[in-house]
Amino acid sequence: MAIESLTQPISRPSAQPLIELRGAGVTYPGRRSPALSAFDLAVRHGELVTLTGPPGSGKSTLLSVVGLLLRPTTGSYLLNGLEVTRLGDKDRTALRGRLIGRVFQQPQLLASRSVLDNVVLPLLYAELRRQQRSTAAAAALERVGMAHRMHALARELPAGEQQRVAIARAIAGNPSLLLCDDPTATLDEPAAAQVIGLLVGLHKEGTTVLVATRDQLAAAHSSRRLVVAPIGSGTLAGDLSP
Amino acid sequence: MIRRRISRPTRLRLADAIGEACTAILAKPARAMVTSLGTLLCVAWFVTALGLASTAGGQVTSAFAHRLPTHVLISPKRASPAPAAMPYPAGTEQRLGALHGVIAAGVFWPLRLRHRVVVSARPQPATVGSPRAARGRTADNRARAARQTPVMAASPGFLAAAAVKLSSGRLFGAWDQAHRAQVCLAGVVAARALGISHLRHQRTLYIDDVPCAVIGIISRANARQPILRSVVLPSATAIAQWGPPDERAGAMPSVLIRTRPGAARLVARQAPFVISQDRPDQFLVRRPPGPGQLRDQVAATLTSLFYALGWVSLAIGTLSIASVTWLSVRERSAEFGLRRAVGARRLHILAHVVCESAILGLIGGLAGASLGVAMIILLARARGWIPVVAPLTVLPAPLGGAAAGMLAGVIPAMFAARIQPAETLSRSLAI
Repeated sequence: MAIESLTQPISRPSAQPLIELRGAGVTYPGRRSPALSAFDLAVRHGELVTLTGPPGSGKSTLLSVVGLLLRPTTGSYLLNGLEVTRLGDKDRTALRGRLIGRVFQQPQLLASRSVLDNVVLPLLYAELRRQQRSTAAAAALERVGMAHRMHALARELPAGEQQRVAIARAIAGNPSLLLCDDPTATLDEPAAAQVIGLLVGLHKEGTTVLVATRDQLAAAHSSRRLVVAPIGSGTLAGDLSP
Repeated sequence: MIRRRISRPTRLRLADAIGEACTAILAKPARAMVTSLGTLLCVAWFVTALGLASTAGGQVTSAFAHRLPTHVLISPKRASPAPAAMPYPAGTEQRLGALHGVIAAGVFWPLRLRHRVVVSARPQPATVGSPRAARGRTADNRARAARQTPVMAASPGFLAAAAVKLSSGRLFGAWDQAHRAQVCLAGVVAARALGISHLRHQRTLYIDDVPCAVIGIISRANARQPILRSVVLPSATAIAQWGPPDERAGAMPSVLIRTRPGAARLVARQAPFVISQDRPDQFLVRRPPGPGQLRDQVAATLTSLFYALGWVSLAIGTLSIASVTWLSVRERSAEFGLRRAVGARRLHILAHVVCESAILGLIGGLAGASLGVAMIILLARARGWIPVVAPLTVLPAPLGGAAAGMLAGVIPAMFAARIQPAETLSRSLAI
């Protein structure tokens, strides 16, 4: 499968890609047709890549594979040169917790907990002391401009701010890779613009960002490289670089 | 860099797991209350059942205390080689009376001689086949009574020890003993057989031709029931008339001791030493079998019944906690999926759910133990019983609640730990 890409110079070029999918495919149990079929993708360190395509094209499945939440049923996945498909759950969880940050379509915040508690959540598993966790979470909230609401309950925030808190949670552990699954889908235009701006800013700070979105415009505004996801087993690739 | 990091799995400190569990409980107090309610009720019932077992056991003990043996009987193991000697030294009764728990003590023996001792209401005892015996039926009956009426020699202390009650007349006492008075008491059965129904007039019985004035009719005795069929005369009178008890003729002198309830066992151990410090083993000590074994059986049955009820309630409570926790875990599957997605291992999710369940169990256990104690007091007061609460059943109850909660949380926790984040993260979190 060919993947068309527009590659602009990246800030930290690396010899080997951070993400390398080789013919990765996923077929869910009980389904005949694959959700993702023989997909190739290579993302280098520091890149901002937008993955776009129509609903059902397999974007979320692809992100789940890249985010180590799903194992590809065919093909292989190399993360920074390491074949991770057959790693045990403990190792995959360690990689997921330490290297990968995730932003979901919905903010997925613990509504009855404070903003700070939500951002601290992934740091609980990172062997940090309470004070270190709070400091890191406060710094992440500062980066997304939400430090002033850190003691508010998550349910009290508007949707745009909730998504910014979700981004803060994703970057609190300084991950090498940030995966965003349609983060602007539930937001109005100004909020979506803020979120896109945040992701671009994180990319400029050196974080590798992979965004899946249906919003072509958002994709066009954010991405340095754009990959159009295939639908099922067909291949549809395009170039929509800005 | 990645390879190095892989070797270091994510970790969750125990303090953080407990802290997260506490925060989750406080964030949803209503849900916590519903989950704790099962533990509360089952621990309350468990404590109540155990407390009622102790209380009922106490009641059983109290009820049986009135039926504990209060008499001890001491007799020589074998007949004395010296026929004219009493086996008990002088002052035995006084020394026994000084023991703690002893109400009264006295010596007695059946009056047996080498020949048959005949008791008669007339100077000449009637014998079978005599011409007077053939005169009529009444005379015949009296003759039979005369042959069959046993005679006992006893000290006044014996009368007190046997708790003798009279229907008429008086008991003999120290004065009668001192003066070897020729008096006697007739048991109500013996008196009837001998034709004595009242003491409005002076009545005399001839015991082996020795006239003795009947001074009282014994209607009741708590010990030595044969006394009601006997004629009893002072031991000093018996010795004066017929000499010391002839043990070879079967007149074995014994000591009857009456004790306070519960003291019989101790008195039975001490009495032989009080009588003879040199040879306490020459005496045979008997006391009526107490209801202790029966009491213990009843108390044990009651206790085991309440324990069984307690354990059944605990099992039901644990199942109810498990079901509520299961529902809670299913409701929160998106949260656990999120935790898995951000670095929690299956073990961490398991620890999180079990901690939460154990803390809820602990809270329920604390409240349940308090409620259980209150229930025991209320129920005991309502029945007029003395509430007995064993600290060993109440103090560990909260820990028992925590253990039940922990146990109940294991299966839901295993379910939570197996949640696949990719499947649950499409749902929105409602927590």
